Parts: sequence; structure tokens; C-alpha cells
Amino acid sequence: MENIIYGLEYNARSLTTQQDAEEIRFFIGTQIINGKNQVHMVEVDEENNKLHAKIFSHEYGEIWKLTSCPNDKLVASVYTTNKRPEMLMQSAIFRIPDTSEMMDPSKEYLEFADVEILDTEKFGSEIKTTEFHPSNTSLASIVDGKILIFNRTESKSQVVTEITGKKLNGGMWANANQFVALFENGIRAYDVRDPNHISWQIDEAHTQPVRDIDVNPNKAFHIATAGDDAILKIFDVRNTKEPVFQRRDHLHWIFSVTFNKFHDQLILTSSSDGKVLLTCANSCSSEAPSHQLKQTLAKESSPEEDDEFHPKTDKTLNDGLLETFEQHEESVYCVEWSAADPWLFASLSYDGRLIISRIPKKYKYKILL
Amino acid sequence: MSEKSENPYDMDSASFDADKYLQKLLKTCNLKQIMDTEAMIVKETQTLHSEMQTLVYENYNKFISATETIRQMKTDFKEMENEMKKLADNMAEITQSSDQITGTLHDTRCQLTKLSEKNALLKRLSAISSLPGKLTQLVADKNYVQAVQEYNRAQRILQQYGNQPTFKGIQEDCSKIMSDLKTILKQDFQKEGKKTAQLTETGELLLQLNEKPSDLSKEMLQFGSQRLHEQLIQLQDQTDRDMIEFVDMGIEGFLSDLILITTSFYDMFVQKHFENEDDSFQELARGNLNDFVNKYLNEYLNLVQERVENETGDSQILLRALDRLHRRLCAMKNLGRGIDMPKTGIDLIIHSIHQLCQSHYKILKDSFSDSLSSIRLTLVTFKNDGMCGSLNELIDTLYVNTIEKVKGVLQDLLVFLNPEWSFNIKAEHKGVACIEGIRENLLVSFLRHIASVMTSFSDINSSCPANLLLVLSKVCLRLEKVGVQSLLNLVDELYEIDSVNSAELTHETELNSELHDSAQILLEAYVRVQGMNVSQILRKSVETRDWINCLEPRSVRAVMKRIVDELTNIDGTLDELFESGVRTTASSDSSRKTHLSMSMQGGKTQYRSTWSNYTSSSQLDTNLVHRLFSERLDIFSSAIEFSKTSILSGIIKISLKTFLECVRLKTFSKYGLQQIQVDAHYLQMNLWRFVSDENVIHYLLDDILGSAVIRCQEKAGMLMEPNAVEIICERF
Repeated sequence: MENIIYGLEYNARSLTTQQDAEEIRFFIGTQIINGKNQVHMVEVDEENNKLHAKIFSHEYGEIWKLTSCPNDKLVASVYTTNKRPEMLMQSAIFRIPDTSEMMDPSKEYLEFADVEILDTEKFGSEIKTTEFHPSNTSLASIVDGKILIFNRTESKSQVVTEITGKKLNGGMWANANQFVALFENGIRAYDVRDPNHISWQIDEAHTQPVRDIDVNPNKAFHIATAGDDAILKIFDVRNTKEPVFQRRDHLHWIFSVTFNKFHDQLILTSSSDGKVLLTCANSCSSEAPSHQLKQTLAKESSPEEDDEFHPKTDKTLNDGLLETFEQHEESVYCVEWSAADPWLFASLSYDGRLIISRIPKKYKYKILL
Repeated sequence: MSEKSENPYDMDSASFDADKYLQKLLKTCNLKQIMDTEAMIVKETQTLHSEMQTLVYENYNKFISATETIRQMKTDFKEMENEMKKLADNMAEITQSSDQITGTLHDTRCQLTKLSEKNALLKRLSAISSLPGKLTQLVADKNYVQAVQEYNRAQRILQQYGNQPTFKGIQEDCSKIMSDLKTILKQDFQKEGKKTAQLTETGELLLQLNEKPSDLSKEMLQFGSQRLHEQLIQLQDQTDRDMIEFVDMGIEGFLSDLILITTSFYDMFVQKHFENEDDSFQELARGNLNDFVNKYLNEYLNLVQERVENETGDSQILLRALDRLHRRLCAMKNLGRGIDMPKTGIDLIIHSIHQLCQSHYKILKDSFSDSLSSIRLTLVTFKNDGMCGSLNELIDTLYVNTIEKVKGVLQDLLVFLNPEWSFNIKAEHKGVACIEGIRENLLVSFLRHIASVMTSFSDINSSCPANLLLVLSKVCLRLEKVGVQSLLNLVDELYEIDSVNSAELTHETELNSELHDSAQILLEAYVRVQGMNVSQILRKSVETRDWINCLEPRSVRAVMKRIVDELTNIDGTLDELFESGVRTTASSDSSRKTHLSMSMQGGKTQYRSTWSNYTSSSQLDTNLVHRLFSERLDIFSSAIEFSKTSILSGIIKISLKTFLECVRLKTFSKYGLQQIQVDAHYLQMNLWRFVSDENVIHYLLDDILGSAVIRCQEKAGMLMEPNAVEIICERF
């Protein structure tokens, strides 16, 4: 299957995938400072190798960030409204309508159902992200460098916890109780049950600001970080002195890093050098043979059997850069794996070009066989 | 002829026919002729007749005298017969007399023979009876050789008559004496400090005394082992001595003993044939001897090797010691058949070379890392002092130090090939491999090592001064250009290695390309580090400013000046190290200065018509038009070259890209945008001189300004008049 390109007419720097669905759906938020913004829902029709797009209007303002809910058909946006001279920054939650409701051909733009604008104004003016809790109805928003935990109730989301962080630039849920936030050149993990306590921190994870993190979905103590030093690192939060994996393949800032949810040795990064890189971190993935297993194997096997062991490692992928995707002509700010198809991902560059790509078959077979 | 002979007309022939003759005569001749013929024939007939008469008389006289002679002879023979008879009678008489005499003398002669035999026997008996005393005397005089000879002479007789009481006594006495002698001899045999000849002699005597050769040989080796073992233990205690002393001690003590034992053994057992031993005995003895020699020589050489491994001092002394040992081993060449003594020695020497190489390798590595640390320190101090320092000097120091150290080591190791040594390493296959090891394991490995050490400074985790990367890159380059070649040539020349035709040896180009790669990597790291430094300044300056509530720009922001200063500094540093590089765009200074304003004026319509009139729906068109007018450049695709402009271009590209990304994350008011416009123009005016291709700068600055326009919250008429921008920039 060839790459499929979807071109927006506007600049865009936000992309998310719908997690709670069987369809392969991506949402793109436009960034139009003086005008009507939209959320494009792009659905990949794998059989016909086509894309079907639906456009929702997002009249609240230009979108900086889109996130999706893992356990519900919800999307959250972070946007600014141009109220010259002030720019008002807010965050809203939308419900994705059912497919039948999207069929109405009379309207040019579809509308989201159940829009809720989070009440953040009293906490601050700058919002970095709004992150859905992995399992319950909580939400975490980074507002003016602080973490606000909301609880979605039927009527209105309420702030239940306020964690006083400083200059936090983003973050994500590491597990049900822990929120990992970007803090300058490092990351900090907060326990939402104990707002004044930092569970752990890696202060100088990078020499430059960290732009994105991702938690290994199958190995929650592994966290991938990337940022302005163009280096991708994976840290084991239990031993933060040294990263367990690191690569420097990009030539400029890395804006986005994400683990494959099904085969976590596959990591995608996108950068302002205009490239999307697929990196393999087999040695520290959940599919890597554990050390104990290796040791017992080494003990049990005589030298001859050792030789039998080597070709086996040959079959698996080696650590390092696997593939460079160079179809973008602009800085690529977002890259997202599809939630439904483990071998498919979307990348979005600033010029509004969305590219749906697939993992080359040679890697796929190596991982599967 | 026959007819003629038969001619009946010839008077002389037998077939003469007188009638025919007459007839013919009558027919053919006239009367006168016939008368003549008749007269002639008559005359002839008369002559012949008288002649015949004379002959008959003569013969008659002769016959008569012969008859008289025969009568005389008859009487003479009769006398001779009588004389012969008398002689025969006399001879018979003489024979008889002689027989009589022989018969009378025979008895007397028999008696004489018997008497002389008895006399000899008696003499011998007296010698045997005095043997014990004689032997005792000889033993006491330590004249063992004669004693053994005497004993062996008597031995046969004693054995023959041993059953007779008298002789039995003598035999017992002798045996006793001889067994005493044996004991003495054996003790003697085991005594230390004997010469080979003596030892052999003693051994010989023992053998003559019917000692079993196999037992004796075993005993000898056993005893030898004991002695050599003691020597070895003694040597072990002396390992802290000087190498030469140690080897000398070994040669004097251990080796001379070994030689003594081996030579004696060989003379005694291997060279001779023993009747009372198996045919295989000699072979066996030879085998035993070889095992013995091997065992102890190995033990000794191991000891020496251990000593060599602990040797830390001068390789010259070490070598002298080893040379001595090798000479000695060579001298022992013929000692153990089947053992290659010099080879064992050479092995030892080769081993020590390997070891020396290793220690030198380590020293080189250490000294290189020391040089690196000191240079690093220098750079850090210079940085703190705020002075740039002469990087060239540092490069020289590091380069020259490294090269000289290596050269020194190569010279140092050359002592192995000194012709005055008795050994010739190169004659051995192993030796050649070892010499090549100096090239491969020492020189080539070291060059690879320093390349990798230097490259490691560009690793993700390494944080070192940017200038160090520059220094290292330059050192790599210089090694690539000159150093590697000179060092490889030196080693090839010194050690006479034919590297050109060897498939196994590392070729110069291989190393050069590795070093070139290192230089490239280091240079890229330098660009990255410097790019990040400048980026950081730019990022902070954009992030911390409030671009919405700012005033109309009156001046270029100070940070831009700082960036230009920073780049000028880098330019100054690079100036002494790299060529300036080629500029692709060659336009005059003034035109360059005004490029941006020109492009803005020329593209005034473009900027005005697109950016100022843009609406949300036409944003894409804006992008498209923008892209159409400025050709797309892949700013990160070109590799960094070893030239000033290429390096600076790299740094500037990274920095401006950062500027662009920062601008895109911000929102600008009209004045904010104008500030960016002013800053961009200032950069345009000042950065062109650093780069090889100023289009890159135009492209990136256009992009920055374009992005700022897009990120401006106001809809129209935001850009400043180009003239005003120019004035502000020039005033700054």
C-alpha cells in the first residue's frame, strides 16, 4: 500500500487518533489565527486505499493540541481565541458523533456533540495540553505550568486536584495515579493522590528542553523523551542515571515521539528537519528476551548451541534507525500510530500535509515471525 | 705351357721324343744346321757325363766318414751308464741315515712343550691369588680404571674355576672389593660439580662392572632431575635480580648442569650398543633423554618468561640478557636430538616482543589520553580567561606529541632487529608475524584507537568544549594527510615490511579513510554544538519576549548583535584553521546589503498582495505563492565540508531553523512582527559574509518572516516600510 496524502489548506500542528473505535481515524486541528478553524476527521479505508474526510467546525480558535480519550469517543483540544490584543487560551472536550449522524449532507461542516469548555480561566492563561486519564473519567490539564486534574461529571467537569508545578510544558499519564510532566530539560512525575509530592524526576534528561514524551504502553517504567537536542532517549524510571536507549538521528528539534502500542520496539519521532524516523529499540522493548532468560540460555547452552542461538537474534530487528520517511517538505510536528492498525501511522507537517504511511513489510515480518 | 712342357721337341723335358725331334730337325733345318746341331748335342752329352761322374765320387766319400763317427759314439755311452748306477746307491744310503735321526729326537721335544705350558699356568695362578690385594691397593689409590680392568681380566678364570674352594675364596674377595668399588663409584657418580669426562668415565666403569644400562640410565636421569630441580628453585628465588644477572645465573647453574648431564648420558647410553640390553634400548634411552631435556628446558624457559613478564626496565638490557640466553641455547643446538633449542629461545624472545609491544601500546594510549586531558584543560582555562588561545598551537602540540611518541616507540622496538644479536627474528615465520604485529597491533591499532577516542568526543553523552572538537577534527585531518603515511612508511622502512604487496596488512588508505570519517564526525559535532549554542540564545530571546504587547521597533534587538558577534568569533577561530571555502553567489557588497529590501521592494506586490490581504481561506495560497517565489531548499541535506564557510553555513542553518520554529510557536502583534522584520533584515545584512551560499540565508529568513506574518494576530498592513527597516538597521 502506497502512502496516502491528505492535504489541508491551512497550517496545522495538532493530530490525534481515535482510540475507542474500530475504524482508523485521525483528527487534525487547523491553526488559523484569524479565521474559522476546523477539525478534520480522516478515516482510512484500507480496502480501497482511500481516505474519507469529514470536517467539523471549531470556531473557538486556532488549535494547538488535540488529544483523544482512550476509553470514550472524546477529543480534547487546546486552542487560542484571537481577542485582539489578548489571545485567550482554552481547552474544550468534544464528543465524536456516531457514524450515522455524520451522514447529514446539508451542512458544509459537521458539529461536535456535547462540547464542554473547561473552566480554566481562573487558574491561568496558558494551556499546554489536556490529557485523558487512561481508565477513569479524570482529565489532566497543564495550565500556566500547573497540573489541574478535572473529573468529568455529567454536567460539568470539576477541578478536583491542583498540583503546583512550575513551568511545566506538557505531559501525559504514566499510569492511573501518576502524571509525567515535561519540565525544562527534564521530566517530573507527580502522584495525583499526593499533590505536593514528586514521585521521581529526571532533571537533565536532555541538554535542551524536552518537547515530547511517551510511556511504553507495555512496560510502564520505560519513558521515551525527545526534544530540542534532537536526541531520542528511553529512560527506565527505576534507574534514571543513564538512559537505557538513545539515538541521535534527527538534525533538528524533535517535536513528537510515540511508541507503537502493539510492538513497543517501534518508535516514531517527527522533527523540524522535516523527517519522520522509525527507530527500533528492540533491546529494551517488552518483546526483548529478558536478561535472566539470556543468562539461563547462556548457561545451558554449550558453545555449539550458542551458534544456533545467533541466527535467532539475526531474525529479530537490530536496535537503531530503521526507516526515514522524507515525504514532508515542512517541519513535522505530529506523528501518531493508528489505534486500530498496528502497522499504520499518520504524520502531519506544518503546511497541512497529512501522510498515512505503513511500516515496510520487511520489518513487519521480522517482528511477527 | 703344358703343351710346351709336353713339347716333345724339348730335350730337357721328360716327354722328349728323339724321333720326332729328329724328324722335325730334318724337316726344318738344312744340312749345315743339322750338322751344327749334331756337334752341339754331342758336346753337351760329353759335358753332362763328366759332371755325373764327379758327383758320384763325392757322395761315396761322405758316407764312409759318417760310418766311422757312429762307431765312436757306441763306445762312449757304455761308460756313462756305469757312473749313474753308483750315484743311485749313495742316495739311498743318505735317506736311511736321516730317518734314524728324526726318530731319536721326537720324545725330547714333547716333554719341552708340556713344561712351558705348565710354567704359564702357574704364573697366572699366582696373579689371581694376589688379585684381591692388588685390587684393594688400586681402589685405595683411586686407580679405579685399572682396578676394573684387572678385575675384568681375572673374571673369566674365576668364573671357570669358581667351584674350586681356593678360587671361590678369591672370587668372593674380589666381588666384595668390586661391590665396594661400585658403591664408591655410584657415590662419585652422583657427586656435584663433575666434568662431563669424569662423569662419563665413572659411568663407563660402572657399566663395565656389569651395572644394567637401563637401570643406570634411569638412575642418572633421576639424579639429574633432582639436581636441576634444585637449580630451578634456586633461580626462582633470584627473580628480583637484574635481568642479565638472572640469565647469567641460569646459564652458569642450570644450563651447564643440563648440558653436563645430557652429554654424559648421550655418550654413555645413546651412542653405544649393549649386548645385554634390547635393541630398542638405545631408542628408549634417546627418548628418555629428550623427554628429560624438554621437561627441564621448558621449566627453565617458563621461569625466564615469567621473569621477562615482570621486567619493567630497559628493553636494551632485557634483550642483551635474552641474546645471551639465545647464544647459549644455540651452542646447545646439538645437545638434544629432536629438540630445536634455538627455536625455543626465539619463541621466548618473540613472546617478550609481544609483551613489550603491548606495554608500549598501553603507554601510548595513556600518554595520548593525558595529552587530551591537558588540551581539554587548556581549552577550558582559556575559555574562562575569555581568550581564544591559539588553537593551532594546541593542534601542533597534540599532533607532534602523538607522532613523536609513536616514532620513539618504533625506534625503541627496533632493538630487536639489531644485527649484533645472535638471533634473527625475521628468519622465523613467527618472527615475521611478530614484526608485522608491531605494525598492525601497535601502530595501526594505536591509530585506530586514537581515532575512536577522538570520535567518542562527539558521542551523545559527551560534553566537551566546542573548540576541542575542532582541535581533534583538525588533528584527524592532519593525521590523514601526513601523519599516517609518514608513520607507516617509517615502520615499513625500519622493519623492512613489504606492506604494499601484502594482502593482510592494513593499507594506508584504509586508515586514512577512517581518520577522515572521524574528522568529519567531529566537525559535524562541532557544527551541532555551536549551532545549539547559538540556537539557545535565539530561542530564549524569542520565548521570553512578549510579542503582543511590544512597542514599535526602534532598533534591532541586542540579541541579534550578540548572535552576529558569536558567529564572528567562530569565524575568527576557524580563520586560522580552515580555508575560507567557495562562495557560490558573487554579488557586490552593496547589492548584497540591500538584498532583502530589494526582494521586499521587488516582491512588494507579493508581500503586500498576499500577506497583507490574506484571509483565512487564502492561507494556503499564501504558502503556495511564498514557496513558488522562494525555491525550496533542503537545508540539512548538504554535508559539512572542511572549509570555513561550510562550517559556518551549518551553524547558521541550525540557528535560523531554530529561530523559525520559535517564531511559529508565538503570536505576534503588528509591532512584534515588525520587530522580527527588522531583526531578519539585520541578520540578512550581517550573515551573508559567513556562508558559501547566501540563498540559504535568504530562504530561511524569508521563511521566518513569512511565518511571523502568518502568526500575526492582525489581519492587514503589518509590515514596515522596507526603507524604514533599512534605516533602523544601518543606524544600529
